[in-house]
Amino acid sequence: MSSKVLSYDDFQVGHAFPPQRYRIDSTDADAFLATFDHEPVQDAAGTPLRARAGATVRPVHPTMVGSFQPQHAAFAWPTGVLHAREVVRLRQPVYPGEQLQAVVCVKDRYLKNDRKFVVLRITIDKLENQRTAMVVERTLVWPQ
Amino acid sequence: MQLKAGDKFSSRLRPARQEDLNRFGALHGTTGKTHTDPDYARSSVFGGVIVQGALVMAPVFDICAEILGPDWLERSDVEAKFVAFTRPGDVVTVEVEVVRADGRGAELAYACVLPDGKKVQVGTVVLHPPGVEVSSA
Repeated sequence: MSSKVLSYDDFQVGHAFPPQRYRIDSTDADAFLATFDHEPVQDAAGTPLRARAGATVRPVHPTMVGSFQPQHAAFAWPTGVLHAREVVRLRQPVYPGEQLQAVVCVKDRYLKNDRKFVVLRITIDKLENQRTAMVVERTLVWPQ
Repeated sequence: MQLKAGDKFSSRLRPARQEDLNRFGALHGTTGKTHTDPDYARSSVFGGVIVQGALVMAPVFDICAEILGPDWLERSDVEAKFVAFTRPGDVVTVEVEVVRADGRGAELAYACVLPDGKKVQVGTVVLHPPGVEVSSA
């Protein structure tokens, strides 16, 4: 985890932080799933959509694959940073134990309504087949 | 499932507990004090703990998977805008409407809504047709 706290002015558009390699094990993947849940999905008539799938080899939840952990490895941020928008492109499921590589890039930074926005692009590749599993475009609001 | 434009779905999320925020934050890397330190959060501009936007978004992904099927993990684009915050214990309902469906791909619009009708998160989900090369750019 990086201890270098970045201010808005530190971000240079186009900069790529060093790649981070990591795995997500099944214990963490299951613990992550236990932190939220939802009632059965219903259609407009109130009919439940379908029974939930039973226990199988489940992919890691995409929100965990595209977590903030690679950012922590790249840099630290001050208290008060807000998460404003997220674009997620899902391209391959990730299974527990797969070796991943994430590259965090600065896609954009801009001022709008006196607020400081930083847009990061995080590309997560599966090293086993060299294919991109997911791309996350994350818009954060930096404190004044 | 055969989807058609105008189809609507909904599901209520399990209200988030402080321990959910703490555990989610530890795993997801979102352990900011506004999420995990009630004393700090009370004295902040938020006046109390706020739930991570991603913790509201995560079950939306599961709901989309139930509507679109497992292929969605391989050829979907999701855009989520966090337009307001929620607090632990808030009851959030996810409302989904099919905007377009042609048997090969589909587009959904969703909103996460509090009981008073206030939207806290809005977004779109596009499932690309199979066999079509989709850009990651």
